[in-house]
Amino acid sequence: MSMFRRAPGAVWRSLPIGIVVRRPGTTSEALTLTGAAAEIWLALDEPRAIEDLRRVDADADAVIEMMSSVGLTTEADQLQ
Amino acid sequence: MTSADPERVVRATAAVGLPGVLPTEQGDRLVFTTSALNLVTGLRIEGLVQRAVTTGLVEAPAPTNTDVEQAWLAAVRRSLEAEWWAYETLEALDAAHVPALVLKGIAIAHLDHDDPNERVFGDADVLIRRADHGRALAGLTAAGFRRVEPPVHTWWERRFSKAVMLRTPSGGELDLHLSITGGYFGERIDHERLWARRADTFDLGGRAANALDLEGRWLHACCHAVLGGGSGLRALRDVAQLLLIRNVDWQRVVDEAVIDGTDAVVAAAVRTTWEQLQLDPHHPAAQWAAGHAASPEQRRALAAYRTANHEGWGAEGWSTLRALNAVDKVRFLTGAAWPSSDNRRYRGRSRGDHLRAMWATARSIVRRGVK
Repeated sequence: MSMFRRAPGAVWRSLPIGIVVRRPGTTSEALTLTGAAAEIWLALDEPRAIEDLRRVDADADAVIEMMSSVGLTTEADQLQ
Repeated sequence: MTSADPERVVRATAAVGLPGVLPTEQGDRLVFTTSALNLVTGLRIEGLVQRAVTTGLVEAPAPTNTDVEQAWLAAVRRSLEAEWWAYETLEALDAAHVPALVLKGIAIAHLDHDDPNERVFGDADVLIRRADHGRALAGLTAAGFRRVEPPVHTWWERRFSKAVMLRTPSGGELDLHLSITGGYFGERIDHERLWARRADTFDLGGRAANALDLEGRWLHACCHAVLGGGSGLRALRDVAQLLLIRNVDWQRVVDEAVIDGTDAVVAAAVRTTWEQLQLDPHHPAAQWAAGHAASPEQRRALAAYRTANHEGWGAEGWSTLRALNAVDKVRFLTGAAWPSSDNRRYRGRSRGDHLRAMWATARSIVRRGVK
């Protein structure tokens, strides 16, 4: 079962425009997460299984893939 | 009546949400204009401005309201950059087994504001013990950090410097503090007492970050407000925030400051904060500060910092001497008079230039009576 968590060093703030999050290890602009991405981000206060995240949003697989591709999330077991 | 006086509006904004703000001219509507926004630039109080506008303390007619929000969002993004620099620093110091405390804006935003977006900041400040200076710099260098300026001498920096400025691997600014303030008062503060207390902790990018405890943060805020030079309303708000919102045990800080001989700094910080933010003078801390008389020694030291703020570091550096024992006085002066060649080259000075500059500073200080 795949478990996901926020990438270490991803610093972020919850703002009226969405979740503003800085990608760790980069010098690029902070990203703004809205909609399902913002909800899933907030759900990742602890490592979560993809099955749990699908309950937050039906498209959780695609959202997690997108966030992982830009370095915002990672598989929890990859950290061990 | 409507008031758009930028200075008055900005002062009111800096005090938003504090209990005990004195009503000034009753019934006045405060209007935040472009002039006020320009005044805010550099003060790093964009988060307080946004709060003042959204809660209706001040009005910001279009398009200024949009400008206020954009300025705030940009400031929050800068703050996130600084948090990443602090994260990089803590990771590198952890790897080098060096304990560290996050200081100032980052710690205060997370620990002392219900909404951290109210307190914005632009750099990372981290405190280490002087004894860890060598190990910390070796660890940071190995992790890709680069110092901005060559040291006066390594031994001199470890013993006397307030902070070492470094560039993080991502190009950010890190102030690696060896003490919470420089000069005379930096020498007087018992830093081991600060370290001995249980640290406050907050989450930074998924890891635990340690900070000074509440009383330590307040002492540091007082130092920054009075000795920091140009820190302005942001630092005064920190003093008020920790006192009036977080209910710091200010009496304990005062008692310890009396032991150290730094009570004049705390008193000056409280007086200035109350005057600038127009707070209720009946608060016991304000009454203590109003009645406080600094010793001649502390008055001379405060004057040296004021001179340093206007004319450069020299006067503050000289003030250090008064807090040192005889051996350290000799070591301090020896290092200051004969800095390393790398340090002189960085500052574009020959040895003769440097000695002449030191002599000029010393004469200026003696002429002013700031010894």
